[in-house]
Amino acid sequence: MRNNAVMWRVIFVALYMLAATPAVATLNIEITRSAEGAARIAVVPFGWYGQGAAPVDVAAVIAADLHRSGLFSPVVVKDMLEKPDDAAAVDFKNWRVIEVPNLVVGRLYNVGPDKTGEDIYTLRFHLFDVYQAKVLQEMTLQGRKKELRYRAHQISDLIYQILTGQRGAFTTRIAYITKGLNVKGGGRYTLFVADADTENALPVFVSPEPIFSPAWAPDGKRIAYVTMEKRRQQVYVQDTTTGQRDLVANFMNYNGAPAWSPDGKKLALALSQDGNHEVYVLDIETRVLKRITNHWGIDTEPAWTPDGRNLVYTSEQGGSPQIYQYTFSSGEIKRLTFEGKQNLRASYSPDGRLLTFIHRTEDRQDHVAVMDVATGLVRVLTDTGLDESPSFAPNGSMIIFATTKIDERHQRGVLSAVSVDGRVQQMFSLPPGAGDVREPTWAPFGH
Amino acid sequence: MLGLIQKYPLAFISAVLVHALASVFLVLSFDWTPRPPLPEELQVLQAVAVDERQVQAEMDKIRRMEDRKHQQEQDRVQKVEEKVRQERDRLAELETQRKRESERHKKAEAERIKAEQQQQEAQRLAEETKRETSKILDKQRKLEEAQQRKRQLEDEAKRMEQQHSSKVKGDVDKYQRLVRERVENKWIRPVNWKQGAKCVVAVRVIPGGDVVDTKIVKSCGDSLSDRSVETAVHQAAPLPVPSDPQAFAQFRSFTFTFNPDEK
Repeated sequence: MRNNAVMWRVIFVALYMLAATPAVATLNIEITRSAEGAARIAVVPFGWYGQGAAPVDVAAVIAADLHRSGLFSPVVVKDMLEKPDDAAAVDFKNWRVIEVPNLVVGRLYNVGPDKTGEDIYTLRFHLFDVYQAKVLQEMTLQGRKKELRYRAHQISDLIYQILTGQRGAFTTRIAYITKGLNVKGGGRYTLFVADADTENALPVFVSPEPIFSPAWAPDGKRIAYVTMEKRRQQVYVQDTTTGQRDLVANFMNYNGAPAWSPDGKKLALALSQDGNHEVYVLDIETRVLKRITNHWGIDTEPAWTPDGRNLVYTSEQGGSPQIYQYTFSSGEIKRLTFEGKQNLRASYSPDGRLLTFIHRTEDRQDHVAVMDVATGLVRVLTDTGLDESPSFAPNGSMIIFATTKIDERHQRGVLSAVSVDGRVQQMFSLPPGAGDVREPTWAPFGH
Repeated sequence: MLGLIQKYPLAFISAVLVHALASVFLVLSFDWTPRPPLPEELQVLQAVAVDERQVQAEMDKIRRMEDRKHQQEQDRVQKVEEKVRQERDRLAELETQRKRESERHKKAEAERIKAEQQQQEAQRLAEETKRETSKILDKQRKLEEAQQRKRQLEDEAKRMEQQHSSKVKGDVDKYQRLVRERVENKWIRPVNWKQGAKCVVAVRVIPGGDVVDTKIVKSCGDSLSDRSVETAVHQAAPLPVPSDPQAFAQFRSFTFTFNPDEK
């Protein structure tokens, strides 16, 4: 009884309070219009504490990295109202005035030689949220002179990670092939491995004969490629750290288009040992070869889905080159592309949700395109019309590819990158002597 | 009594007469009670002296005479008694009648009085009721008047409230628009904005429009977009908020929905 009465009283009070408290609708303001653009970021030139000139312009490396991603627009140095190199020296007002929400300041110190006599450097930086006046990240890194660019890329990765929530790919590497002239006037083909910003380019293999189709192993160290050094196509695997080369595919006739399985144990290949270009899978360890396709038309350019369950490849079985998918478990073959004159050289994004390929339009322009695997919707990403060899960055944010640049009556292949939504595309400027650049391929994340 | 006499004079007179008569008879009767007559003793003495037979005859004669006389007397008394009795009866009858009459009268009187009392009571009650009723009516009227006044005051208050709140609402609408425009001018949507993304930022503002705090309530889907909307709000500060405290109250804590693909 008592409890009942208490309960009723509680209910009454609750109801009363409910009735007495009007539901206050919070004001909401809808924002539907905006300018669109890259996020502004200021990377203030790092203070240099050492003898002579600074070994690396760290800020410039970071700014270039962020700019290349397409998501950021670095402030040019002359627009900066102050150039602090330390957190204590920052006055946020100077950055709010020019409406820069992100700020990076830092210092590079020469801390003197280590036991081996080589100078050791310390890099210290702060990333600020200007409007909320708070430090988003601060860190101190160390390295020798030759490691400083890499350290700068590491800082770029961190900044990118904090501001976008996505893993940065600035410390990753790319491989590409150049065709130049040797001193005697003959051909000179080089397989290069470079930082993602094309700096630190190191030749991995040089040949007077053409080199094709470089492919990174999932370990990010080995690279498979095709050479004509023996006057016919052969597939080699080379360790980029030790330089060791192994001939892995030397079947009759054509050997080409190597593609690593996600576990790194197999290579999908295009072979013509049976008289026709067909797709095969080779177990590198056991040397077991399995034929995948069987059609009178050309089947080539295989690539694996990230889960290793399917292969996509280019096939002419429908008359024009189109992309097909083979499923290992069922042996089922499915055509994936239907739009445009032709579609070829397909590869998957690291998350397997997008497929990129070269899409030839009805007016014979070759563009980098992506297909949403789930919906089948195709989107052309580039404005350039002579694109080839698209390759996803390991964080899936960009696609690197080669395109032909025509100027002053001669044309050459150059590297370009486009964001996966197609909003940002930019050319990489390689040194003038680099020659014709082809077939870039983006390495997976390092160890 | 007097009234009674007036009312029944005949009965009264007759009653008086009867009473008087009865009294006369009663007196006479006392006078007539047989007393041994003195002369007879004398005669007895004479008879002794005279002839016995004669005496005897005389005596018989006397006795007869006396007897007759006595008898007559007796008859007369009887008659009178009868008459008295009759008269008494009549009187009694009259008395009963009178009594009955009087009782009836009394009863009628009582009834009349009772009726009168009842009437008076009824009247009193009626008056009382009337009084009470009028009192109640009065109260009710006063209450109604009070209510009416209250309603009027309330209406007045409501009207004033409405006037103010419509002014407040106008202010809120106006400044809402200003704030929106200002934030829209500042917002730079990142290039990786996901088509169809929609996000909500909660904002706390102090009078004057300075933004104290922002918080992503619903993410745009990626950090860069989230940062861009928060930055836009901070860049827009001080926000153009109303100075009227009641209107400003709405802006103390509110939300922005960034929904650029909503057209």
